[in-house]
Amino acid sequence: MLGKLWKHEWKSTWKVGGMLLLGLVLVSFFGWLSFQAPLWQAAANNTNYSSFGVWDLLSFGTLFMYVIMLIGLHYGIIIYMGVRFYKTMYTDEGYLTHTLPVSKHQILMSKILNSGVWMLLMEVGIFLSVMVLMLSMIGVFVEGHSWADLWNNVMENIDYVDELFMMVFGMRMSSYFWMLLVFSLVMPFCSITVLFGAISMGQLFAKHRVLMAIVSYVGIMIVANIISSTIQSIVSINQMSRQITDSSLVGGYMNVTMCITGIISLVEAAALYWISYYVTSKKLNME
Amino acid sequence: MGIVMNELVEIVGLTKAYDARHVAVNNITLTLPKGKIVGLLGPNGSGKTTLIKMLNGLLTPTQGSIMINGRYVGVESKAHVAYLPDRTYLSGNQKICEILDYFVDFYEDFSREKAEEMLRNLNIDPETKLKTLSKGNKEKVQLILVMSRNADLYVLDEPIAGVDPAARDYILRTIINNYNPDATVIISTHLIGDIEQVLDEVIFMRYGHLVLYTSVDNIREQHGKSVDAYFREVFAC
Repeated sequence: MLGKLWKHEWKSTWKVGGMLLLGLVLVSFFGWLSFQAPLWQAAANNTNYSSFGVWDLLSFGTLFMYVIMLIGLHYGIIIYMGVRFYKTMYTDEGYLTHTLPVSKHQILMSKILNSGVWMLLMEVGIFLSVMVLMLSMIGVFVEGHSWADLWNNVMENIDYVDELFMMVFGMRMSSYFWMLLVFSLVMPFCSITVLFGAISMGQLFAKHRVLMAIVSYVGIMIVANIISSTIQSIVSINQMSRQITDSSLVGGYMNVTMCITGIISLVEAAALYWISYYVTSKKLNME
Repeated sequence: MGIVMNELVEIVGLTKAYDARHVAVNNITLTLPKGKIVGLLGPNGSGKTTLIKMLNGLLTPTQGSIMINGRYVGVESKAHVAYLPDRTYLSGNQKICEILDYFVDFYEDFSREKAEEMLRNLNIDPETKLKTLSKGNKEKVQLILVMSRNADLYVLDEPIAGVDPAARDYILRTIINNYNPDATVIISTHLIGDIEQVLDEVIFMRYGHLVLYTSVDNIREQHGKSVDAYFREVFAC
């Protein structure tokens, strides 16, 4: 039944999700276009540029809009999935959802998996968009060199970069990459589970359930940040007292931050999943 | 010879209190047999919809229990209960054929052929989006979905409220012609005169209490009145 639930979730969300991804492609195109203005060419050639014109102004405007739109798209998909969860679970559409002959775990998992996959797709899209923008920028500044030359250059120095990683992060580049990949894969699912949990917490109140869901979400975020910051501070102070002159301090701090954020997110997601399950199975009160 | 169990719904000490002062359903104990059409009757606020929601697992009882065909309300009972709520529970953005796909996937007892035939009789194109239909047709589509199931228990919450008399006739005809004869149908309404002729039994509710559970024949024989007239007498303001 989980497969069927997910199939119908996907069918109901692919249009909006696809439109948001299409929006990302358009935004990325305009981001790439912004680096084609004469100003950047002049900056790359290190020449004096006195004729700042409409195209340059548009370039700055487009770059600014690019950043705003990227943030908008990132939060847009989260808000869409949150609203859809609320609508299909706790409004009139919930009357159908909760009378299906499926378990609450299956309902919750289908929604978490579907929303998590969409968030992941958006995350990958944003990553690729930023890469396009960076390549567009690099393209301007390294004009005259082929991409193959650049690639060869990177590959020749890969050992040096690996050593640098070992020195700063205390691990090989490939290990760091895998850790980052796992982190990036898991985080969207954790974030959406927390959001769904907060929406479910709102249902525990007799009135103003949407408002209480928002208050719950903000509260969870604050508590998680306080716990995360406290643990991070303790670990960092401990590290600083032991290796104050060590060059791996920054890398160590980043590693610890990522690990702590990951662990707290997993614990938070597990707790909020349990709350969603508890509300839907033991405290469901459809108005 | 084995004993044939005739009980379909067993409600024991069922209570739903929203808070200390607002008790919507108060300590109801009731057993409904198979193969009956039961009218759930009572004025507004008597607890009919609350009771129906608890039968369908949409509300968690404060106390008491419900068993449907020997199973507590849950995944298994939901597979055998066809529920028509007092509101539109379908997404307006979906085409009717997509909603049929949905029901085919989740309800083993759903007959797509039966649903399509009923839609054809009403000249409703399955390729139409639900939001483009009139209010009356939306309600008819929901009823068709519910009545195309071969369920053990049909729970219909106010199926004829807010529709014109012609639509009422269609709805009642659809219910009578399509329900599984071994199943029980619970119809909640306050338009008693319109459905009286199809009822076998009635439940009267007031302020969350069960006032009366008896057969329609019994009311006619003992009180010499129609259900509608007797209801007006019992619930006279």
